[in-house]
Amino acid sequence: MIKKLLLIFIYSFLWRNFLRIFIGLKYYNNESLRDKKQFILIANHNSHMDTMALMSAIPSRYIHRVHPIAARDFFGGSLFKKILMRYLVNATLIKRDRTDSENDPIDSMDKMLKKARSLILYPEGSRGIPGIMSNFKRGLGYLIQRNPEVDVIPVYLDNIYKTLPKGKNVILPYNCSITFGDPIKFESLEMDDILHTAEKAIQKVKES
Amino acid sequence: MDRSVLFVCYLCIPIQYFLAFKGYYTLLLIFIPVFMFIIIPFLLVLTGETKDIIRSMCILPTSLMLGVFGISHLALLINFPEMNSNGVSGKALLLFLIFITEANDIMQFVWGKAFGKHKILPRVSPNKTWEGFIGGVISTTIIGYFMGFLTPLNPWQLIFISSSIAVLGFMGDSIMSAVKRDFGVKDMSTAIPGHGGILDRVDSLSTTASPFFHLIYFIIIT
Repeated sequence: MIKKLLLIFIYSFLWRNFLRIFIGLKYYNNESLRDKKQFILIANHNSHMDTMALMSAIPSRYIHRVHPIAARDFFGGSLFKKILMRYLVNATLIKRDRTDSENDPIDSMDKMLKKARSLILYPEGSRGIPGIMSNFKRGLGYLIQRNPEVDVIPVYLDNIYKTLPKGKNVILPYNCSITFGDPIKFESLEMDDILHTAEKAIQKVKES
Repeated sequence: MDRSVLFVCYLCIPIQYFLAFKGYYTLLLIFIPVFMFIIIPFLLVLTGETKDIIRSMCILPTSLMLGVFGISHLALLINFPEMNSNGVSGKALLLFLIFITEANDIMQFVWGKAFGKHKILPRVSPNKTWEGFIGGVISTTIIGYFMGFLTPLNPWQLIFISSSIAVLGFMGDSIMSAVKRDFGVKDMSTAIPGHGGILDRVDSLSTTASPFFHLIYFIIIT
């Protein structure tokens, strides 16, 4: 309960107003999330601001049930970082590789979905080169194969990387926007088809 | 361009408006053209990168002058003590300035649409014509004459100030459309259909506000 209030205060109030007023971020079609129970958001990833922008766009009613997925080796370095990620970002830390069968990242994400939680995923795996969509990782495919009933919503983050590029530490205003698309309909659950459809859906949101 | 220098430039906006809020006339006048003109190039030098440095040194102060300095005089009009005494109202002057500037924009557009044949700046702003410009200046002067009850000016001063605002507004519009053309944007946003965003309405104010303020100030103190 306290965590929910904290998240609402941080994202629906502080970050949303900060991004709107000082950065000039424009939200397009984020009302479409309002009556969704459970979803996976997939977006292009170039900057740490991406997660802040996505979390600030999520309706405050169920913000505590939405978990960004973060890499444990990058964000889980120290206990302090772990607590920050757990309580202030509401993130779920996963391992990047699948060598350890006890801590399988797909299993832990799958468990979250089974508990009716929503996820924010960056299928590119890490912050890539701006403007170029790198190949999607197969984890998204496994997740959709196991949970075909969950809505997958493509999101395109335009220019947000300029407000805080990789390796920089000053946040600056730029002309940027965040656009939510319609849920993707997967025609077949083959791995390659899923990744291809997802990639095309984000491209489509970008062009709309 | 280094991001921390850009951050300092953005920081100038609240500082400039704070000075306008307090009515610190002299400090507001010199803050960007004198202080920032020295501080920004020095900060750029501190970053240690000399490639293209003269480009940054030129762009940043010019952008501040265009985007912050001119428009901040609108706020100074309200909060400047001498503009709000002896029967002069800063708010009325502000209303007069904005009304005349926007009326000038609209009049130049309307006259240009109706009678425009000879283009002034075919490569920068194809919508601007000699007919629109001259018609706009004449009608703006007339409008300004009849809006004179907002100001402490006599008729001749009104005619002079309104026609100068018309010409200055045209200049500001052309400067900003050239800047936008260089950046490859047509309108700043899509808030007003057919007219672009709020910032597109402001571009002529960026050149009219400061001269208007100083003309009025000159008239009041003499």
